[in-house]
Amino acid sequence: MVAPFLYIEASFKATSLNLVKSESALLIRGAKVTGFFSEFMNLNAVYLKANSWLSISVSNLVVIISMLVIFFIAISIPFPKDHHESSKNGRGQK
Amino acid sequence: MMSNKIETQKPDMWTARLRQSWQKNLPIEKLLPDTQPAYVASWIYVFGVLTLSALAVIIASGVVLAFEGPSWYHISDAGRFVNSLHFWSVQLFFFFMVVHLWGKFWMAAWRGKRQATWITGSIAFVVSIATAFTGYLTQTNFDSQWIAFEAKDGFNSVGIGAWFTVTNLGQMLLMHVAFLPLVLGLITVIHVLQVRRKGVVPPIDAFDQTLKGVNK
Repeated sequence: MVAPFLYIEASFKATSLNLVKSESALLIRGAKVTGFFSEFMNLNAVYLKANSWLSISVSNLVVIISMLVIFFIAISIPFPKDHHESSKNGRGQK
Repeated sequence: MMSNKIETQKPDMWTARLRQSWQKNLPIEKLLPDTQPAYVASWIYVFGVLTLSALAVIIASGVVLAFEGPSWYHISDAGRFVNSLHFWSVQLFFFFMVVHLWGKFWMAAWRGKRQATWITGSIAFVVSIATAFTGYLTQTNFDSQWIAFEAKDGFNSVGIGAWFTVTNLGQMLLMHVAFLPLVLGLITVIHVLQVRRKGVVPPIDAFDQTLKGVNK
């Protein structure tokens, strides 16, 4: 399935570049997207608004929350120990 | 003997001063260490290297895009793949860099005379935003048009719109592929050299006698 936005964009480019029919078809075919992820990426952004001062897209909010989650995981999960080279005084590590 | 005499006769040459300064501040043992302090064995210390790895993918894919051109990366399957690789490695770059920034901020990573490391990291962050911004402007699609015309008013309002023209595709493309990557690469190299010079900052609660004078 061709996402409407990309199809229009590719058609516009094909027209503006004055391409021959085969080249236009190639350009439009190149704009084809398949799969859930590609379809999802071409949807309009959904925005959350609070009062009149806060406006953020759900995508950006998900990225920020993901970074926070990764950050807290990184500071809380222990790092794998290297049993072969663990130093006696705890200072150096290979 | 001869070489020593020549060296002592030219101590004021800038090359000699630079060499001596380099050998004093960043000997090869510091530049390419094979051991790290035990506190580095933490996941939060991984994100600096992850950021550098993402940057390497960005540069490599960007070089391919520059050589092949938009007639390749907008149309062919391989071109669109490399184009996507470039785009998504930028997303990962910023993701890792922000986590790295949070980790270093809450660690007060400027301790132990590491202010130059902190400052170069901050500058690299700002230059990265400018580089990514010009990248968004050179996608040559409706998205880049929208971003350019939204940003135009912002740049005009601060008086630099005539100098930094976001609707000038040629200027933005050259900024993105030539000038800004050069600046970012240079700052990143200085940042990494500063990390090597001063060492990785220890956690705030890691102070002990072996780290005396480092963790202040």
